[in-house]
Amino acid sequence: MKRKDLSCPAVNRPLKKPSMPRAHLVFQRVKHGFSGLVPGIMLFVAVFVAALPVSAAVDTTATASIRVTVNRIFSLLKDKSLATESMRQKRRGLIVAEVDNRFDFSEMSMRAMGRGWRKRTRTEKLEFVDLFAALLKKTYIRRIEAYSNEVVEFRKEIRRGKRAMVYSVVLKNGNEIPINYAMKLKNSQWRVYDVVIEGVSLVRNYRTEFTRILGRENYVGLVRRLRRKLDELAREDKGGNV
Amino acid sequence: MSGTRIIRFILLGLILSVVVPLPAWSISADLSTVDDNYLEPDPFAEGDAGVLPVVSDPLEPVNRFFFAFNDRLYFWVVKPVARGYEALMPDVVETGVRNFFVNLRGPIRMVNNLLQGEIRGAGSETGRFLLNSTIGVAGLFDVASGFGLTPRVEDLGQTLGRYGIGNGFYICWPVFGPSSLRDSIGMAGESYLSPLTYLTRDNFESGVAAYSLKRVNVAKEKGEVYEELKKSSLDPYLAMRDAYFQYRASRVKNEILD
Repeated sequence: MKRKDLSCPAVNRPLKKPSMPRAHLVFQRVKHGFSGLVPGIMLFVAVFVAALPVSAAVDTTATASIRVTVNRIFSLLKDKSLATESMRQKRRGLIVAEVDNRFDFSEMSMRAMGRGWRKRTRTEKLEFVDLFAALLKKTYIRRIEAYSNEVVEFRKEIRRGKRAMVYSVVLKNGNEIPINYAMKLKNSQWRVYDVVIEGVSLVRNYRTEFTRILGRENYVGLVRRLRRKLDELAREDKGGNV
Repeated sequence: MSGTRIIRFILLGLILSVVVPLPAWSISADLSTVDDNYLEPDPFAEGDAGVLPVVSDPLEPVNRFFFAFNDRLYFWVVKPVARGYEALMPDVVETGVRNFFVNLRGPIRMVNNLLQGEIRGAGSETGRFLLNSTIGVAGLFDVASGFGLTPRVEDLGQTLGRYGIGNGFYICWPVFGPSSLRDSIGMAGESYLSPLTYLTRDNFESGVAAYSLKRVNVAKEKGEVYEELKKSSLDPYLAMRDAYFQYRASRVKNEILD
Protein backbone atom coordinates (compact mmCIF):
# COMPACT_ATOMS: atom_id res chain seq x y z
CA MET A 1 0.00 0.00 0.00
CA LYS A 2 2.69 2.45 1.00
CA ARG A 3 4.72 1.79 -2.12
CA LYS A 4 2.23 3.84 -3.97
CA ASP A 5 3.34 6.89 -2.10
CA LEU A 6 6.75 6.66 -3.70
CA SER A 7 5.79 9.26 -6.18
CA CYS A 8 3.82 11.56 -3.98
CA PRO A 9 6.44 14.28 -3.63
CA ALA A 10 6.35 14.63 -7.38
CA VAL A 11 2.60 14.53 -7.61
CA ASN A 12 2.11 17.20 -5.03
CA ARG A 13 4.36 19.68 -6.71
CA PRO A 14 2.49 22.67 -8.10
CA LEU A 15 1.61 21.99 -11.68
CA LYS A 16 4.11 23.54 -13.99
CA LYS A 17 3.74 21.99 -17.35
CA PRO A 18 7.29 21.86 -18.64
CA SER A 19 8.78 20.62 -15.41
CA MET A 20 6.45 17.71 -14.89
CA PRO A 21 7.48 15.43 -17.71
CA ARG A 22 11.09 16.27 -17.05
CA ALA A 23 10.76 15.35 -13.42
CA HIS A 24 9.29 12.11 -14.48
CA LEU A 25 12.05 11.41 -16.96
CA VAL A 26 14.57 11.93 -14.22
CA PHE A 27 12.66 9.50 -12.07
CA GLN A 28 12.51 7.00 -14.90
CA ARG A 29 16.18 7.22 -15.51
CA VAL A 30 16.78 6.77 -11.82
CA LYS A 31 14.55 3.74 -11.78
CA HIS A 32 16.41 2.12 -14.59
CA GLY A 33 19.78 2.91 -13.10
CA PHE A 34 21.15 5.07 -15.93
CA SER A 35 21.74 8.08 -13.75
CA GLY A 36 25.04 8.58 -11.99
CA LEU A 37 23.23 9.64 -8.84
CA VAL A 38 24.28 7.83 -5.67
CA PRO A 39 25.13 4.41 -7.11
CA GLY A 40 24.36 2.53 -3.89
CA ILE A 41 20.80 3.71 -3.87
CA MET A 42 20.61 2.92 -7.55
CA LEU A 43 21.46 -0.67 -6.86
CA PHE A 44 18.72 -0.95 -4.27
CA VAL A 45 16.23 0.69 -6.55
CA ALA A 46 17.25 -1.60 -9.37
CA VAL A 47 16.69 -4.62 -7.17
CA PHE A 48 13.25 -3.44 -6.18
CA VAL A 49 12.31 -2.52 -9.71
CA ALA A 50 13.44 -5.92 -10.90
CA ALA A 51 11.29 -7.49 -8.20
CA LEU A 52 8.20 -5.99 -9.75
CA PRO A 53 6.51 -7.95 -12.48
CA VAL A 54 6.39 -4.82 -14.64
CA SER A 55 9.18 -6.00 -16.85
CA ALA A 56 7.82 -9.52 -17.20
CA ALA A 57 7.94 -10.77 -20.74
CA VAL A 58 5.10 -9.51 -22.89
CA ASP A 59 4.23 -11.96 -25.58
CA THR A 60 1.25 -10.13 -26.93
CA THR A 61 0.50 -6.90 -28.74
CA ALA A 62 -2.08 -4.32 -27.77
CA THR A 63 -4.15 -5.28 -30.81
CA ALA A 64 -4.12 -8.95 -29.84
CA SER A 65 -5.24 -8.05 -26.31
CA ILE A 66 -8.15 -5.88 -27.30
CA ARG A 67 -9.13 -8.30 -30.03
CA VAL A 68 -9.48 -11.09 -27.49
CA THR A 69 -11.74 -8.93 -25.34
CA VAL A 70 -13.87 -7.75 -28.26
CA ASN A 71 -14.23 -11.29 -29.59
CA ARG A 72 -15.23 -12.62 -26.19
CA ILE A 73 -17.86 -9.91 -25.80
CA PHE A 74 -19.19 -10.57 -29.27
CA SER A 75 -19.49 -14.27 -28.60
CA LEU A 76 -21.36 -13.48 -25.38
CA LEU A 77 -23.73 -11.34 -27.41
CA LYS A 78 -24.18 -14.09 -29.98
CA ASP A 79 -24.75 -16.77 -27.38
CA LYS A 80 -28.41 -17.73 -27.80
CA SER A 81 -28.63 -19.19 -24.31
CA LEU A 82 -27.77 -15.80 -22.82
CA ALA A 83 -30.09 -13.84 -25.08
CA THR A 84 -33.26 -14.35 -23.06
CA GLU A 85 -34.73 -11.73 -20.77
CA SER A 86 -34.03 -13.81 -17.67
CA MET A 87 -30.37 -14.19 -18.59
CA ARG A 88 -29.88 -10.51 -19.31
CA GLN A 89 -28.36 -9.75 -15.93
CA LYS A 90 -26.02 -12.68 -16.17
CA ARG A 91 -24.88 -11.65 -19.63
CA ARG A 92 -24.30 -8.12 -18.44
CA GLY A 93 -22.22 -9.44 -15.58
CA LEU A 94 -20.10 -11.49 -17.96
CA ILE A 95 -19.59 -8.56 -20.31
CA VAL A 96 -18.66 -6.25 -17.46
CA ALA A 97 -16.13 -8.81 -16.27
CA GLU A 98 -14.46 -8.74 -19.70
CA VAL A 99 -14.51 -4.95 -19.70
CA ASP A 100 -13.04 -4.81 -16.20
CA ASN A 101 -10.17 -6.97 -17.33
CA ARG A 102 -9.25 -4.80 -20.25
CA PHE A 103 -10.17 -1.26 -19.26
CA ASP A 104 -8.22 0.74 -16.75
CA PHE A 105 -10.91 2.79 -15.05
CA SER A 106 -8.53 4.37 -12.56
CA GLU A 107 -6.38 5.82 -15.29
CA MET A 108 -9.48 6.89 -17.20
CA SER A 109 -10.86 8.62 -14.13
CA MET A 110 -7.62 10.43 -13.50
CA ARG A 111 -7.41 11.60 -17.08
CA ALA A 112 -11.06 12.59 -17.15
CA MET A 113 -10.66 14.65 -14.03
CA GLY A 114 -7.49 16.24 -15.32
CA ARG A 115 -5.90 18.84 -13.08
CA GLY A 116 -8.43 18.37 -10.32
CA TRP A 117 -7.13 14.87 -9.67
CA ARG A 118 -4.10 15.77 -7.60
CA LYS A 119 -6.17 17.88 -5.23
CA ARG A 120 -8.32 14.94 -4.24
CA THR A 121 -7.74 12.78 -1.20
CA ARG A 122 -7.27 9.07 -1.63
CA THR A 123 -10.81 8.37 -0.47
CA GLU A 124 -12.20 10.88 -2.91
CA LYS A 125 -10.18 9.37 -5.74
CA LEU A 126 -11.51 5.91 -4.98
CA GLU A 127 -15.04 7.24 -4.73
CA PHE A 128 -14.69 9.05 -8.02
CA VAL A 129 -13.21 6.03 -9.81
CA ASP A 130 -16.17 3.96 -8.60
CA LEU A 131 -18.75 6.45 -9.82
CA PHE A 132 -17.11 7.21 -13.14
CA ALA A 133 -16.48 3.53 -13.86
CA ALA A 134 -20.13 2.80 -13.11
CA LEU A 135 -21.22 5.51 -15.54
CA LEU A 136 -18.87 4.28 -18.27
CA LYS A 137 -19.96 0.68 -17.84
CA LYS A 138 -23.62 1.59 -18.01
CA THR A 139 -23.07 3.59 -21.15
CA TYR A 140 -20.91 0.89 -22.68
CA ILE A 141 -23.31 -1.93 -21.86
CA ARG A 142 -26.22 -0.13 -23.41
CA ARG A 143 -24.25 0.53 -26.55
CA ILE A 144 -22.84 -2.94 -26.87
CA GLU A 145 -26.24 -4.56 -26.34
CA ALA A 146 -27.54 -2.64 -29.32
CA TYR A 147 -24.96 -4.36 -31.52
CA SER A 148 -26.30 -7.05 -33.75
CA ASN A 149 -24.36 -8.09 -36.81
CA GLU A 150 -21.56 -5.59 -36.75
CA VAL A 151 -18.09 -6.67 -37.69
CA VAL A 152 -14.96 -5.26 -36.10
CA GLU A 153 -11.76 -4.96 -38.06
CA PHE A 154 -8.45 -4.07 -36.51
CA ARG A 155 -6.54 -1.98 -38.99
CA LYS A 156 -3.28 -0.90 -37.43
CA GLU A 157 -1.39 -0.26 -34.25
CA ILE A 158 1.06 2.48 -33.41
CA ARG A 159 3.32 1.71 -30.52
CA ARG A 160 5.15 4.34 -28.53
CA GLY A 161 7.03 2.94 -25.59
CA LYS A 162 4.56 1.53 -23.12
CA ARG A 163 1.61 2.95 -24.97
CA ALA A 164 -0.16 1.96 -28.10
CA MET A 165 -3.01 3.20 -30.20
CA VAL A 166 -5.06 0.48 -31.82
CA TYR A 167 -7.11 1.54 -34.82
CA SER A 168 -10.25 -0.41 -35.53
CA VAL A 169 -13.44 0.09 -37.49
CA VAL A 170 -16.90 -1.20 -36.81
CA LEU A 171 -18.68 -2.08 -40.03
CA LYS A 172 -22.37 -1.37 -39.74
CA ASN A 173 -24.73 -1.41 -42.71
CA GLY A 174 -22.06 -0.34 -45.12
CA ASN A 175 -20.77 2.40 -42.82
CA GLU A 176 -17.42 2.34 -41.15
CA ILE A 177 -17.22 3.72 -37.65
CA PRO A 178 -13.61 4.22 -36.63
CA ILE A 179 -12.89 3.32 -33.02
CA ASN A 180 -9.41 3.71 -31.62
CA TYR A 181 -8.24 2.29 -28.34
CA ALA A 182 -5.49 4.06 -26.44
CA MET A 183 -3.75 1.37 -24.45
CA LYS A 184 -1.03 1.19 -21.92
CA LEU A 185 1.20 -1.63 -20.81
CA LYS A 186 0.87 -2.12 -17.07
CA ASN A 187 2.20 -5.12 -15.25
CA SER A 188 2.64 -6.81 -18.62
CA GLN A 189 -1.05 -6.31 -19.42
CA TRP A 190 -2.36 -4.04 -22.12
CA ARG A 191 -5.19 -1.98 -20.75
CA VAL A 192 -7.39 0.62 -22.37
CA TYR A 193 -7.26 4.14 -20.96
CA ASP A 194 -9.19 5.97 -23.67
CA VAL A 195 -11.55 5.19 -26.51
CA VAL A 196 -11.66 7.47 -29.50
CA ILE A 197 -14.84 7.13 -31.54
CA GLU A 198 -14.90 8.95 -34.88
CA GLY A 199 -12.13 11.20 -33.68
CA VAL A 200 -13.83 12.00 -30.37
CA SER A 201 -11.87 11.00 -27.29
CA LEU A 202 -14.18 9.79 -24.58
CA VAL A 203 -11.84 10.87 -21.83
CA ARG A 204 -11.32 14.33 -23.25
CA ASN A 205 -15.05 14.72 -23.70
CA TYR A 206 -15.64 13.95 -20.05
CA ARG A 207 -12.75 16.13 -19.03
CA THR A 208 -14.46 19.10 -20.66
CA GLU A 209 -17.52 18.52 -18.54
CA PHE A 210 -15.72 17.65 -15.33
CA THR A 211 -13.35 20.61 -15.52
CA ARG A 212 -16.26 23.03 -15.83
CA ILE A 213 -18.28 21.38 -13.07
CA LEU A 214 -15.27 21.20 -10.75
CA GLY A 215 -14.60 24.88 -11.36
CA ARG A 216 -18.14 25.95 -10.58
CA GLU A 217 -19.47 23.42 -8.11
CA ASN A 218 -16.32 21.83 -6.71
CA TYR A 219 -15.77 18.17 -6.18
CA VAL A 220 -18.90 17.83 -4.06
CA GLY A 221 -21.02 19.13 -6.91
CA LEU A 222 -19.37 16.80 -9.41
CA VAL A 223 -20.00 13.77 -7.24
CA ARG A 224 -23.57 14.83 -6.62
CA ARG A 225 -24.16 15.13 -10.35
CA LEU A 226 -22.55 11.78 -11.06
CA ARG A 227 -24.76 10.09 -8.48
CA ARG A 228 -27.84 11.79 -9.86
CA LYS A 229 -26.93 10.64 -13.36
CA LEU A 230 -26.43 7.08 -12.21
CA ASP A 231 -29.79 7.09 -10.42
CA GLU A 232 -31.41 8.43 -13.54
CA LEU A 233 -29.86 5.69 -15.70
CA ALA A 234 -30.78 3.02 -13.17
CA ARG A 235 -34.38 4.20 -13.17
CA GLU A 236 -34.42 4.13 -16.95
CA ASP A 237 -33.49 0.53 -17.33
CA LYS A 238 -35.36 -0.81 -14.37
CA GLY A 239 -34.06 -4.05 -13.11
CA GLY A 240 -30.72 -3.38 -14.69
CA ASN A 241 -28.04 -2.65 -12.18
CA VAL A 242 -24.80 -2.91 -14.03
CA MET B 1 13.04 18.93 -9.44
CA SER B 2 16.15 19.48 -7.40
CA GLY B 3 18.66 16.74 -6.74
CA THR B 4 18.08 16.71 -3.00
CA ARG B 5 14.38 16.24 -3.50
CA ILE B 6 14.98 13.26 -5.73
CA ILE B 7 17.31 11.71 -3.21
CA ARG B 8 14.89 12.38 -0.37
CA PHE B 9 12.09 10.82 -2.24
CA ILE B 10 14.12 7.81 -3.31
CA LEU B 11 15.16 7.31 0.29
CA LEU B 12 11.58 7.58 1.43
CA GLY B 13 10.62 5.00 -1.15
CA LEU B 14 13.43 2.71 -0.10
CA ILE B 15 12.54 2.91 3.56
CA LEU B 16 8.91 2.30 2.81
CA SER B 17 9.59 -0.64 0.54
CA VAL B 18 11.77 -2.29 3.15
CA VAL B 19 9.52 -1.54 6.12
CA VAL B 20 6.16 -2.15 4.50
CA PRO B 21 5.60 -5.64 3.18
CA LEU B 22 4.82 -5.67 -0.50
CA PRO B 23 1.17 -6.13 -1.28
CA ALA B 24 0.31 -8.53 -4.06
CA TRP B 25 0.55 -6.58 -7.27
CA SER B 26 -3.10 -6.87 -8.02
CA ILE B 27 -4.72 -6.10 -11.33
CA SER B 28 -7.93 -4.89 -9.75
CA ALA B 29 -8.68 -1.22 -10.14
CA ASP B 30 -6.76 0.49 -7.43
CA LEU B 31 -4.82 3.68 -7.51
CA SER B 32 -1.39 2.17 -7.14
CA THR B 33 -0.28 2.58 -10.71
CA VAL B 34 -2.10 5.78 -11.34
CA ASP B 35 -0.60 8.66 -9.42
CA ASP B 36 2.93 8.54 -10.75
CA ASN B 37 1.82 7.85 -14.28
CA TYR B 38 -0.03 11.10 -14.32
CA LEU B 39 3.28 12.74 -15.00
CA GLU B 40 3.81 10.74 -18.10
CA PRO B 41 2.76 12.77 -21.11
CA ASP B 42 0.45 10.88 -23.40
CA PRO B 43 2.02 10.68 -26.86
CA PHE B 44 -1.44 10.23 -28.35
CA ALA B 45 -3.13 13.16 -26.67
CA GLU B 46 -2.68 16.74 -27.68
CA GLY B 47 -0.59 18.58 -25.15
CA ASP B 48 -0.65 17.91 -21.43
CA ALA B 49 -2.93 15.16 -20.28
CA GLY B 50 -4.57 17.47 -17.76
CA VAL B 51 -5.06 20.57 -19.83
CA LEU B 52 -7.80 21.18 -22.32
CA PRO B 53 -7.43 23.14 -25.52
CA VAL B 54 -9.10 26.51 -25.25
CA VAL B 55 -12.54 26.60 -26.78
CA SER B 56 -14.09 29.95 -27.55
CA ASP B 57 -17.78 30.16 -26.79
CA PRO B 58 -18.75 33.79 -26.24
CA LEU B 59 -22.32 33.07 -27.29
CA GLU B 60 -22.77 30.32 -24.72
CA PRO B 61 -26.07 31.57 -23.24
CA VAL B 62 -27.61 31.92 -26.71
CA ASN B 63 -26.07 28.64 -27.82
CA ARG B 64 -27.47 26.87 -24.78
CA PHE B 65 -30.88 28.27 -25.58
CA PHE B 66 -30.76 26.92 -29.11
CA PHE B 67 -29.29 23.65 -27.90
CA ALA B 68 -32.34 23.22 -25.68
CA PHE B 69 -34.54 24.29 -28.57
CA ASN B 70 -32.99 21.69 -30.87
CA ASP B 71 -33.35 19.08 -28.17
CA ARG B 72 -37.09 19.72 -28.05
CA LEU B 73 -37.33 19.90 -31.79
CA TYR B 74 -35.73 16.48 -31.91
CA PHE B 75 -37.81 14.79 -29.24
CA TRP B 76 -41.12 16.43 -30.06
CA VAL B 77 -41.00 16.67 -33.84
CA VAL B 78 -38.09 14.98 -35.61
CA LYS B 79 -38.10 11.73 -33.67
CA PRO B 80 -41.85 11.01 -33.88
CA VAL B 81 -41.88 11.94 -37.56
CA ALA B 82 -38.80 9.81 -38.20
CA ARG B 83 -40.47 6.88 -36.45
CA GLY B 84 -43.53 7.14 -38.61
CA TYR B 85 -41.40 7.55 -41.69
CA GLU B 86 -39.33 4.52 -40.83
CA ALA B 87 -42.42 2.42 -40.23
CA LEU B 88 -43.85 3.45 -43.58
CA MET B 89 -40.79 3.34 -45.76
CA PRO B 90 -39.06 0.12 -46.76
CA ASP B 91 -35.34 0.11 -46.01
CA VAL B 92 -34.61 0.25 -49.73
CA VAL B 93 -36.31 3.62 -49.95
CA GLU B 94 -34.42 4.96 -46.96
CA THR B 95 -31.12 3.86 -48.44
CA GLY B 96 -32.13 5.33 -51.78
CA VAL B 97 -33.02 8.68 -50.25
CA ARG B 98 -29.76 8.75 -48.34
CA ASN B 99 -27.77 7.88 -51.45
CA PHE B 100 -29.62 10.58 -53.36
CA PHE B 101 -28.67 13.33 -50.90
CA VAL B 102 -25.13 12.04 -50.54
CA ASN B 103 -24.79 12.13 -54.32
CA LEU B 104 -26.17 15.65 -54.45
CA ARG B 105 -23.21 16.78 -52.38
CA GLY B 106 -20.77 15.03 -54.69
CA PRO B 107 -19.61 18.17 -56.49
CA ILE B 108 -19.03 19.93 -53.15
CA ARG B 109 -16.83 17.07 -51.96
CA MET B 110 -15.03 17.00 -55.30
CA VAL B 111 -14.21 20.72 -55.19
CA ASN B 112 -13.03 20.53 -51.60
CA ASN B 113 -10.85 17.53 -52.33
CA LEU B 114 -9.29 19.58 -55.11
CA LEU B 115 -8.88 22.64 -52.89
CA GLN B 116 -7.04 20.46 -50.39
CA GLY B 117 -4.82 18.95 -53.06
CA GLU B 118 -6.42 15.53 -52.65
CA ILE B 119 -6.23 14.57 -56.27
CA ARG B 120 -7.20 10.96 -55.71
CA GLY B 121 -10.14 11.99 -53.58
CA ALA B 122 -11.27 14.45 -56.23
CA GLY B 123 -10.97 11.75 -58.89
CA SER B 124 -12.91 9.30 -56.78
CA GLU B 125 -15.68 11.82 -56.17
CA THR B 126 -15.88 12.74 -59.85
CA GLY B 127 -16.17 9.09 -60.80
CA ARG B 128 -18.78 8.51 -58.13
CA PHE B 129 -20.87 11.45 -59.21
CA LEU B 130 -20.77 10.45 -62.87
CA LEU B 131 -21.57 6.80 -62.23
CA ASN B 132 -24.19 7.26 -59.55
CA SER B 133 -25.99 10.09 -61.36
CA THR B 134 -26.35 7.95 -64.49
CA ILE B 135 -26.26 4.21 -63.89
CA GLY B 136 -27.25 4.85 -60.28
CA VAL B 137 -30.48 6.56 -61.39
CA ALA B 138 -29.97 10.14 -60.22
CA GLY B 139 -27.95 8.94 -57.25
CA LEU B 140 -30.56 6.61 -55.76
CA PHE B 141 -28.17 3.69 -56.01
CA ASP B 142 -24.57 3.81 -54.94
CA VAL B 143 -23.13 1.73 -57.75
CA ALA B 144 -19.75 3.46 -57.55
CA SER B 145 -18.89 1.86 -54.19
CA GLY B 146 -19.07 -1.46 -55.99
CA PHE B 147 -16.27 -0.20 -58.21
CA GLY B 148 -14.19 0.64 -55.19
CA LEU B 149 -14.94 4.35 -55.38
CA THR B 150 -15.70 5.31 -51.83
CA PRO B 151 -16.84 8.79 -50.78
CA ARG B 152 -14.10 11.15 -49.62
CA VAL B 153 -15.90 13.39 -47.23
CA GLU B 154 -14.53 16.90 -47.42
CA ASP B 155 -16.35 20.17 -46.94
CA LEU B 156 -15.42 23.81 -47.13
CA GLY B 157 -15.05 24.10 -43.37
CA GLN B 158 -12.44 21.33 -43.51
CA THR B 159 -10.72 23.01 -46.43
CA LEU B 160 -10.49 26.27 -44.49
CA GLY B 161 -9.19 24.30 -41.54
CA ARG B 162 -6.56 22.69 -43.73
CA TYR B 163 -5.46 26.16 -44.78
CA GLY B 164 -4.78 26.87 -41.14
CA ILE B 165 -7.92 28.80 -40.28
CA GLY B 166 -9.05 28.11 -36.72
CA ASN B 167 -12.55 27.33 -35.56
CA GLY B 168 -13.31 30.82 -34.36
CA PHE B 169 -16.07 30.41 -31.83
CA TYR B 170 -18.74 27.81 -31.30
CA ILE B 171 -22.19 28.33 -32.73
CA CYS B 172 -25.20 26.15 -32.04
CA TRP B 173 -27.63 27.00 -34.79
CA PRO B 174 -31.33 26.46 -34.33
CA VAL B 175 -32.42 23.49 -36.47
CA PHE B 176 -28.94 22.94 -37.99
CA GLY B 177 -27.16 22.31 -34.71
CA PRO B 178 -23.48 22.49 -33.73
CA SER B 179 -21.07 24.48 -35.85
CA SER B 180 -18.28 26.97 -35.54
CA LEU B 181 -17.69 30.34 -37.10
CA ARG B 182 -15.34 28.78 -39.64
CA ASP B 183 -17.63 25.90 -40.47
CA SER B 184 -20.63 28.23 -40.75
CA ILE B 185 -18.74 30.36 -43.26
CA GLY B 186 -17.88 27.12 -45.03
CA MET B 187 -21.52 26.07 -45.14
CA ALA B 188 -22.57 29.47 -46.46
CA GLY B 189 -19.87 29.30 -49.10
CA GLU B 190 -20.71 25.88 -50.35
CA SER B 191 -24.43 26.61 -50.45
CA TYR B 192 -23.63 28.09 -53.87
CA LEU B 193 -22.73 24.59 -54.99
CA SER B 194 -25.78 22.97 -53.48
CA PRO B 195 -28.85 22.30 -55.62
CA LEU B 196 -30.94 22.49 -52.44
CA THR B 197 -30.11 26.19 -52.18
CA TYR B 198 -31.41 26.90 -55.66
CA LEU B 199 -34.48 24.81 -55.03
CA THR B 200 -35.19 26.76 -51.84
CA ARG B 201 -34.66 30.05 -53.65
CA ASP B 202 -37.05 29.18 -56.45
CA ASN B 203 -39.61 27.43 -54.34
CA PHE B 204 -39.17 27.89 -50.61
CA GLU B 205 -41.61 25.17 -49.57
CA SER B 206 -40.06 22.52 -51.78
CA GLY B 207 -36.65 23.46 -50.46
CA VAL B 208 -37.78 23.10 -46.87
CA ALA B 209 -39.55 19.85 -47.72
CA ALA B 210 -36.40 18.47 -49.36
CA TYR B 211 -34.27 19.51 -46.39
CA SER B 212 -36.78 17.95 -43.98
CA LEU B 213 -36.74 14.71 -45.93
CA LYS B 214 -32.97 14.66 -45.83
CA ARG B 215 -33.04 15.24 -42.07
CA VAL B 216 -35.79 12.79 -41.26
CA ASN B 217 -34.19 10.11 -43.39
CA VAL B 218 -31.03 10.09 -41.28
CA ALA B 219 -32.77 11.06 -38.05
CA LYS B 220 -32.69 7.56 -36.66
CA GLU B 221 -28.92 7.09 -36.81
CA LYS B 222 -28.10 10.65 -35.84
CA GLY B 223 -30.76 10.60 -33.17
CA GLU B 224 -29.28 7.51 -31.58
CA VAL B 225 -25.90 9.17 -31.38
CA TYR B 226 -27.43 12.28 -29.87
CA GLU B 227 -29.48 10.37 -27.34
CA GLU B 228 -26.46 8.36 -26.25
CA LEU B 229 -24.42 11.50 -25.82
CA LYS B 230 -27.18 13.10 -23.83
CA LYS B 231 -27.63 10.05 -21.62
CA SER B 232 -23.99 9.56 -20.85
CA SER B 233 -23.06 13.13 -20.06
CA LEU B 234 -23.51 15.38 -17.06
CA ASP B 235 -23.75 18.51 -19.17
CA PRO B 236 -24.90 17.51 -22.65
CA TYR B 237 -24.26 20.97 -24.05
CA LEU B 238 -20.57 20.82 -23.13
CA ALA B 239 -20.30 17.22 -24.26
CA MET B 240 -21.76 18.09 -27.65
CA ARG B 241 -19.58 21.16 -28.06
CA ASP B 242 -16.43 19.25 -27.27
CA ALA B 243 -17.44 16.30 -29.43
CA TYR B 244 -18.07 18.68 -32.31
CA PHE B 245 -14.67 20.33 -32.04
CA GLN B 246 -12.86 17.03 -31.63
CA TYR B 247 -14.68 15.49 -34.55
CA ARG B 248 -14.00 18.44 -36.81
CA ALA B 249 -10.35 18.57 -35.82
CA SER B 250 -9.89 14.94 -36.73
CA ARG B 251 -11.70 15.50 -40.02
CA VAL B 252 -9.45 18.41 -40.87
CA LYS B 253 -6.43 16.24 -40.19
CA ASN B 254 -8.05 13.46 -42.20
CA GLU B 255 -7.31 11.11 -39.35
CA ILE B 256 -10.42 9.13 -39.99
CA LEU B 257 -9.91 6.54 -42.65
CA ASP B 258 -12.45 7.27 -45.34
